[in-house]
Amino acid sequence: MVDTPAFIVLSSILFVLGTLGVLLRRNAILVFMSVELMLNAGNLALVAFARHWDNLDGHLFVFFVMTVAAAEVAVGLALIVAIFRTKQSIDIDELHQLEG
Amino acid sequence: MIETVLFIIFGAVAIAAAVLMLLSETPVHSALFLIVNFACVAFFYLMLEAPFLAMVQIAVYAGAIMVLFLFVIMLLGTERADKGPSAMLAKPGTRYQPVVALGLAAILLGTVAVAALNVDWDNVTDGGGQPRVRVGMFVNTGREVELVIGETVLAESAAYGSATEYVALPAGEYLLHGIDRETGDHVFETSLTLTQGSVQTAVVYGVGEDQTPAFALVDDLPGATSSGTGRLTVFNAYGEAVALQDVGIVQRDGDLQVLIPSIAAGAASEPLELPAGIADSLRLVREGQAAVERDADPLFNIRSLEVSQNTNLLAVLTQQPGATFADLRVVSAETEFSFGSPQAVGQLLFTGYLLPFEVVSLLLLAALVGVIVIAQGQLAHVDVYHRSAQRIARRRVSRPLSSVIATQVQSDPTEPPQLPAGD
Repeated sequence: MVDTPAFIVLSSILFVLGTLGVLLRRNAILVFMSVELMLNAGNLALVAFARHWDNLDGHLFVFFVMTVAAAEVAVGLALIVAIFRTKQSIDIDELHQLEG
Repeated sequence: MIETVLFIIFGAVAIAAAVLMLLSETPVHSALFLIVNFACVAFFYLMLEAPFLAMVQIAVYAGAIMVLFLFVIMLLGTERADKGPSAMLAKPGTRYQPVVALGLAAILLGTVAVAALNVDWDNVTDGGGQPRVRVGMFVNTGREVELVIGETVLAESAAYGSATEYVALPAGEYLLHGIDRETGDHVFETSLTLTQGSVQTAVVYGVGEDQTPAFALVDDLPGATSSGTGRLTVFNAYGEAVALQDVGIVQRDGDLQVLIPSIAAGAASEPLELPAGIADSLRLVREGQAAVERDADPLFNIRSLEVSQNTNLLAVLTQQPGATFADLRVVSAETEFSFGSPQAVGQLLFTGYLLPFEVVSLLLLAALVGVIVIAQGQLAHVDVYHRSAQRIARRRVSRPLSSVIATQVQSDPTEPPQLPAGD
């Protein structure tokens, strides 16, 4: 049986890769995918801890995170499509109308 | 061992897929690499005893969400619009960003790694269901007996024919004591070995005329029973081999139905699935006692035994000192669904997490409405959509529904609908 720390380290590596994607990529869709990667890394840690403590609550949290992620992706992608229609670009550097 | 190898392989694939997702030039490739990563995570869920979540991961993430991503990428036609990671360095004023980001990432990873590796993981229980055990008291000592396993007090005063609640203990070897509450004497003592993931009943029963305590560990099957059935396990503490018959069902050759042909003394039968309801036609007889002898003197007639779904019944046939008759005591326990199974998750979802579940459902509904509103807004504002919408609307007006139905009906007026010809 693979120990819990191995899964925690793996999940933190994936989380950091997702963070790098959010920070570095300029394509809004890529940023969204990186957020999904971060959510998945968090889910993996939750499931690992659920097995560690023999407690199913972690599975329920993962279930809810997945549901919210699905809703978030639907709304986020609709927004991206809307922005692309008006600005003909999804480069997040060009989206600065809300700047003060 | 094989699990470790698989973990390393799939972990490497997951990390490689994530890195390639970040570095690929086209968003479509990124999306495909992300699917590979999600599949690896689903495999890890299986390793972590979460089969339900693995299934949901494949269906929701790799299925629904990634298809949505790919659809939007294709719809926007941005496959080549973004120059990938190389473009970001060309922009003025963003040169320092990768350095800062990598520094922050290193700090984050270092913090988590230090935190994860500094915890004394061996000191906390690890994984996969602690063994659970209860003690069934089937020896009539005539004294008030306190049951202690290891350091845990299971029952202050265990009555004859009852079982304690289950306790979860780390796997290992334990001493089970029965202590006289008045004098403090040890009535009995035995060692038990509990293995990971087991659910067991330690049966304490008496042997012979002086009721010397004896011990046996009986496995209680976890998991749901088949629909409409309950489980019955018979433990034989009678001293000679017995059989379980069903008097209610007479087979074609006139014999009674033998449910369990032989249960050796001091052993438990295989679990038997009985239809839920009141069982009142079962009887326990000596092994080999002719099944046809309907009037033969049985050891015990089971009357009004309540069998219900997802319940394990443990019936213990005991011999009373100085008495010719046998005694049967039944203890029951609801089965628990196995860890991480859909049933277990569903049970928790619809009991302890009902309110969050409903809130999340409302959130999904709100997201659905939000997406429709955003899409509608686009249709109203973008000119080309507006015009095409008008055109569609005009076309609809020119062909009302009634005329459509009329053409459909008249399309084949001569041939009445026919049933397929029979043999």
